[in-house]
Amino acid sequence: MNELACQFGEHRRLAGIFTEPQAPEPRTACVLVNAGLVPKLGPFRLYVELARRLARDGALTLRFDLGGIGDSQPGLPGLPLRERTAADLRAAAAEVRRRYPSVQEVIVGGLCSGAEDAFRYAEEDPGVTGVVLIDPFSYRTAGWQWRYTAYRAVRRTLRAAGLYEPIVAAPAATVDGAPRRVVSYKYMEHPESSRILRALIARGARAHFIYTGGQQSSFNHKGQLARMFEDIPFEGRVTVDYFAHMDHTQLLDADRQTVADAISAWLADR
Amino acid sequence: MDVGDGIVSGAPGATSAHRAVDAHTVQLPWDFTRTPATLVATERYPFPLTIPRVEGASREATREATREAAREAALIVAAFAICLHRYSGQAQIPLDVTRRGQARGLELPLAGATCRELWARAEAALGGDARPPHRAGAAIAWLDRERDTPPAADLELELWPEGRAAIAYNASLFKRSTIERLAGRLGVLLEALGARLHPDASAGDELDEPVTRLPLLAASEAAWLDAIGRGRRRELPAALVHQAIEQHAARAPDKTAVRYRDRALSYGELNRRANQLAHALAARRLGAEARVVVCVEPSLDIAIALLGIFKAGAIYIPLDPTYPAGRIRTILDDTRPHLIVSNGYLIERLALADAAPVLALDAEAAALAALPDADLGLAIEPARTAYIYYTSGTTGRPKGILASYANLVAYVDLARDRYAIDEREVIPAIARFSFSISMFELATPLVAGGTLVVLDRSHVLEPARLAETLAQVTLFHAGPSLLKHLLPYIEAHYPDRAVFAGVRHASSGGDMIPPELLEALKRIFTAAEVFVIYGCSEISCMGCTYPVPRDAKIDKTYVGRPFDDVTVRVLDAAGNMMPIGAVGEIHFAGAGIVKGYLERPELTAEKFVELGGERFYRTGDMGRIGEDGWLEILGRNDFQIKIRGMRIELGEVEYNLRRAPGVRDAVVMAKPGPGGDKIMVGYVVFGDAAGDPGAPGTGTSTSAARLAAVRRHMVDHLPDYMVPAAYMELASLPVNHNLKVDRHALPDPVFAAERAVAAPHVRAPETDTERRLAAIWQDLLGMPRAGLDDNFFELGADSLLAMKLMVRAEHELGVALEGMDVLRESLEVIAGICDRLRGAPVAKAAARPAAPAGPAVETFYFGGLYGVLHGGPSAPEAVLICPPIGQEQVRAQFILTRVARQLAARGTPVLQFDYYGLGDSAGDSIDASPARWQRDVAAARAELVRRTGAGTIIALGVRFGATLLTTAGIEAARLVLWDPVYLGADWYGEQAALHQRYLRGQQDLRRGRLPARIPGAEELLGVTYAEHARRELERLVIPRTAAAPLRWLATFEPARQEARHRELAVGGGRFESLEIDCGWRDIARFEDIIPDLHVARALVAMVTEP
Repeated sequence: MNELACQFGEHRRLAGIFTEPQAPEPRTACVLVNAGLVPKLGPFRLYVELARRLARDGALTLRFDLGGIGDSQPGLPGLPLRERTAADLRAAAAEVRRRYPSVQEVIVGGLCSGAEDAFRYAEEDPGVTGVVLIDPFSYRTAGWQWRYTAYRAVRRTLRAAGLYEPIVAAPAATVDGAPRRVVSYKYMEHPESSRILRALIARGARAHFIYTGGQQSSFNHKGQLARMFEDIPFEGRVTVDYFAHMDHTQLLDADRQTVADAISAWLADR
Repeated sequence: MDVGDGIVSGAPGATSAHRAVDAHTVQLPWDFTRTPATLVATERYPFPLTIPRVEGASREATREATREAAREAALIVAAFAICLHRYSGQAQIPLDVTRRGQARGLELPLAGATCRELWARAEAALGGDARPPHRAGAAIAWLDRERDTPPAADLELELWPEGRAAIAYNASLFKRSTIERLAGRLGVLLEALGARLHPDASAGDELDEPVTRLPLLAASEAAWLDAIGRGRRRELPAALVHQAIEQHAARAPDKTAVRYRDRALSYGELNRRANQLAHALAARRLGAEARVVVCVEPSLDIAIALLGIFKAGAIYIPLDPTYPAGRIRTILDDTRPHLIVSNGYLIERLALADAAPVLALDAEAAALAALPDADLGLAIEPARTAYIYYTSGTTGRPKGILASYANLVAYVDLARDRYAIDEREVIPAIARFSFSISMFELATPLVAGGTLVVLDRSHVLEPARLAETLAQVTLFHAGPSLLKHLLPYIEAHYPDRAVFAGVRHASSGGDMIPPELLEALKRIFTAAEVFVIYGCSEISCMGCTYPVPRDAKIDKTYVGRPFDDVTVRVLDAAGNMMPIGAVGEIHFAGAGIVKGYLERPELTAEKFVELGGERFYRTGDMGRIGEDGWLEILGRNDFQIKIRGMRIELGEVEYNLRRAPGVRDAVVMAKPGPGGDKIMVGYVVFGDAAGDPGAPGTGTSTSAARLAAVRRHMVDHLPDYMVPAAYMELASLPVNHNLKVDRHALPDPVFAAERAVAAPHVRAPETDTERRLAAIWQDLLGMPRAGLDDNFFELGADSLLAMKLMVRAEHELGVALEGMDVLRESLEVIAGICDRLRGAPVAKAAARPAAPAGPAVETFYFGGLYGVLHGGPSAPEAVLICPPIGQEQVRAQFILTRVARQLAARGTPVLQFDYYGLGDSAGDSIDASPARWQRDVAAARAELVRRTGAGTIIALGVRFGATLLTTAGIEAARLVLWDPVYLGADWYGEQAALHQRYLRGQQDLRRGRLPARIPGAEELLGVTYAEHARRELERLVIPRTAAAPLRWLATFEPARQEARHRELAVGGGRFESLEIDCGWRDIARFEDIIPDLHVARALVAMVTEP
C-alpha cells in the first residue's frame, strides 16, 4: 500500500491522494467524493480507512477535495455548483485513467452529498461501472411509517430510562456566522434518482447502497430500497446493506470497519 | 404627490446643530415638494389683521410719537418672524421687507430673544441701512393697493391700506388650509404681543419673556390637538399579568400555552413549572425588587422563567447569551443581580457563576420538580419594578429601563384590547428576548389565553422556515429589517397567498417603516389587518398605532393615533404644542410610562418631564400631527440612530471607539452606505496622528492594520449591530466655530483601508453580472469595492447577510444561488454561476480560462506526513501551522486554510501538515503518541525551511496543536496560539465526556450494543489513543516559560485563558479574545466546520502585525 499526493485539473487546483495497492497495474479504481464540507480524509477518517482497505483488496482509490473544499482551490467560473462538481469529478476520473492506464473499472462513491455527487456523475460517464452510496437519498414508504412509530416508542422508553439523551443543537449557537442553516443540504428528488438508477442498470453498471441508522427519519429497513423504486427492476445489479445500529458519520472504528468490509465484499462479489 | 417633507423642526436648540440649514433661506411649512417643474401659481388668502396699538419697544421710542408707524411695522415683522421661527426652528429668520416702495433684506436672530429685544431688533433693522433682498422665500410688503402680480417670494404677507391683509402664496407649494392656519396663528401672535405692549398692560415684565412663551395656536386648534393626541381613558385590569395567566391555567389547564419546536407546555404545566421556579426564588428570599437575570436561548424555559419571576414579585432582566462577554459583564455589573437563571452550558460558557448565584434550569430540573407547584398567591404592589430592559446608552454603557408591574399590565392590556387578542391567537416570538417588544410577543398571548410559539434565532433569520411558521399563526409582529428580507422571499416562493389566510394581524415597528413594506404586507397577508406600532421601552412600547388602509396607497411614515390611556404630544423645545403639520419632538404620557433608568437620576429627570401635571417621556423622535389627525415620524433629534431597526446611541459606540488601541479621539456618524442604506462610520484620530488632513483615510498598510485592530476591538466590545461598518483615519476631527466637532464636515467614508486585510490586489468586476453581483455585495457589506477573488464570508459576512444575498440574487439577477456556493466560492465564480443558471451566454469563461484565485499550492508527503505548502517558493519569513488533533482538526480546517491563503497572498509561505496517524498522514492513531507528534512538529518546521529557505519561522498552534507546538522544543520567532489546550489531562477528560455524550445520543440506534473496546487503547471521537499515548497526553502542560514571544487568541473561556496567558507570557505577549463561540465542547456542532472568518482575520493579524 502506498499513498501519493497529487494535484490535477486545470492549474492543478484540485488536490487528492491516491492509495495504491501493492500489486502494480490495478484494474479497479475507486473515486471517493467529499461528504459535505468534510475534506478528503472523510468523516472520522472513513475515507482514509476505506482506501487502505480497498488497497489491500487490490483496488486503487483516489480520494480528493472538490474545488473550494479542503486543499482544493475553487475554480471554473461560469458553472453552477452541480456542474462544477461534475467537472471536478471528470477531472478526477481523467487523472485516474491518465496515471493508471491499467484501470478498466471505475467505481465512484461517497457518503451523503458525496454519494449523490458520485451517483450523478456516474450517469454521465459511461466508464463508471459501479457506484457505492452511503446514506444517499431515501424516500419514506408505508412500511417505513409503521417501523418508525415503533422506533419512536423505543426511543421514548430509552429516554425515560435515562439511557438515551438526544443531541440537541444549541439554537443561537448556529446563528451568527455559522453557515449551518445557509448550507442546508437537500437530497435528490425521486424522479432524478429513478432516472439515474434506471440508466445505470440499463448500461450494466452496479450500485451498492449502504444505509445507516442515521437515516432513520426516512429509511429504516433493508427491504425499503426496493419499495422506493418499485417500478425499476434491479436485475441483480442493485444491492443494499442496512446497518441499523450505526450513526450517519460512523463515529466508532468498528462501524467504519463494518462499512469498509461491506464495500470490500461487494467489490469482490463480481 | 403630497409628500409634505418640507417642514423641519420645531425644536430649535435640539436640532439645529445637526441640520444643514442655509442661513439665507426660511424653512417654510411647504405641503408639496419643490421640483424643477414646479410652477408659480400665485393665490391670495385675504384675512383681517388686527394690529395692536403700541407704546414702543424702547423707552426712547415711546417718546417719539412720529415713529408710531415704524414701530407698528416692526411689530408685524417681529410677529411674522416669530411665527416662522416657531414653524421652522431656525435660530435666524431672513425676511425680505418692502416698505414705501423699497425692498430690503432683514435677518432677525430669534434664539433666546425676548419680545422686547426682537421688537427693538426689527425696528432697528427697518430703520437702518438698506440691504439687498435675500429672496429667502418669505416676505412682507406694505402696499398702496391690492396687486395682481406674483410676489417675489413663495410666501408673502401683504398689508393693504385700512388694516386689510392677505397672504400671497405659491399654490404649487402650499395648501390653502396651511395658509389659513398660518394667518390664524399670526393673528394669535399679534394679539398676544399687543397685550404685552399695550400702554395699560400691567405686566410690563412680560415684554422680557422669551418669544417662545408666546402662544401660537388658536384655542380651537389647541383643543383639537389635545383631543386627537389623547387616547380613550379606560380602566386597566386589576389582575397582574401572571395572575391573568393563572386564571387561564385554572380554567383551561390542558390548552397549549407555549410551543417550541416539537415540544409544548399546556397552561397547567406552564403554571406548575413557573410555580416551582417561584417557590425556588421564594426559598432564596428573592421577592420584591430582587433582580433576577434570565440568560437563556429560545426554548420553553423563557416562558417558565418569565412567569416564575413575576409570580415571585421579583424583577425580570433578560440577558442575551449571544452578546459579547464585555457587554454581558457590563450589564451584570450594572444590574448586580441577586440570581441568574440560565442553563448549565451557558453558565459555563459565559462564566455567569462569577457574577452572581446561578440557577441552572437544566441541571437543577430534578430539584425544581420536587418543589411545590401551587400558586404562591403573593400580593404584589403594582408600583414595584417588574422588569428591566437594557438599551444602548449615551455615555458608553447601556442603560437599564425600569418598568413596574402596573406598566406591564398597561403594556399587555393596551395591546390586547386594541388588537382584540383572545384565546384563539397563535403568536410567534420573533424579537430577541433582550428587546422590550419581546414582552408583547411573550406575555400578550399568554394573558389572552392563546398560544405562544418560541422560535430559534436561526428559524427567525431563515426566510423559508419563518414563512412556514407564519402560515400557522394568527398574529405576528416583525421589525422592518426582518421584513425586508422575509417579504421578498415570500413573494417569490408563495404564489398562493391562501396559505397565510389564518394571519389576521400583521404589524411592524421599531424603526421607520418604508411604505413599500407595508404594501407588501397587505399583498401577502390578504386576510390580515396591517398595523404600524410605534413606541419604545420607556413607554412600554405601545404608544401609537396606525391601521394601514387596505384600499389606499401609503406614502408617509404614519404611526397613527395613541393607544387607549396614552397621550401623545408634539412639542417644541420650550414645551409648546406644535401647530398642525409642524414638526416637533414627540412626547408620551400614560400608564405605560416607566419608572425611569436604573441608577441614572439625572438622565431620568432629563427624559421624563412634568408637563401640565402629567409625566411625559421625551422620545427624541421628531414628528408631526397632520390635518387627518395621524402622527407621522420624521427622524431623530439627537445622536441616537437606528440601523437595521436597532436603536443605537452613537455616544456608546464612540466611547468604545475611543478606547480602541492607539486611538486618541473618535466620532461615529451614520452615513449613507454604497447601497443607500445607513451605515455607521467610525472616524478615528490615532495618538501619533501625522496624516495629511487633505487626504483622509488614504490608508497605508500600517493604517490599514491599525484600523483592522480598531475594528477587532469594536467587535470584541459591542454587539454586532453596534459595530461600525467602515472606519476612516483622520489627522484631526473637524471643528466648528464653537470648537465643537463639526459632524457635517466629516468626509464620506473611503474604504480602501478595509481591503488591505482581505487581499492586496483587487481584480475589478468585468462582466455585467459581476458588476451587479459586486454591487449587491458592496451594498450588503457596506464596502466600496468587491473584487473578483473575494469570498463573501471572508469579507466579513454572516449567515443573515448570506441569506439576504441569496434573496437579492434571486430578485435582481433571477437566480437561486446555493448557500454552499456563497460560502465557498469567489465573486467571479458565483457571477459565472448566475449567468449559467439564467441561461445567459458565459462568454467570459470561454474568453479567459479560470486562473487559480490564490497563490500557488503544493501538496506532498514528507516522512509519511501529509503537507500543503501555500505560496513560496522562497521567502525570508514563513509560517508553520500546527493543527488540532482529531475532529477538532476537521472543524478548524476551513479557517486555517483561509489563514494560510491570506498569508501566502501577502508573500508569506505557510505549511499546513497532518500529524502521524491523523488526517491524511500515514499510520493509524493507535500507533501514534504525543511524543511522535512533537517530532512531527520539528520535522514540519525543517521541511518548511528546506522548501522556502526562510530564516524566520512564526508558528501558529491550535488547541492541542498549540500544546504540541509549545512543547516540541522548536525554534520560532513568535508563537501564536488559538484556544490552546493548557492541560492535556483536562482536554482528554473533556474528549472522553464528549464521546460518552455522543454515544448516549446514539442509544436510540445502538440500544446498548456497543462494539468491544480495543484492548489497551481508548477510542475517543474518531481517534484511538494507546494507553501510553494517553498517559503522555495527560501529562502535557504548556510550559511556564514561553520559548518565544507569545500571542494568544481566545474564542473559548476567554477569562480563564487570559489568566493562563498572563502566567505564561513572560515579557508581555498579546492576548485577544473574540466573542465567537466555536463550540469546542458543543457535541451538537461536533461535526460542523467552524466557518467564522473573524477568527481567520484575527489570526492573520496576530501572525503579521509587528
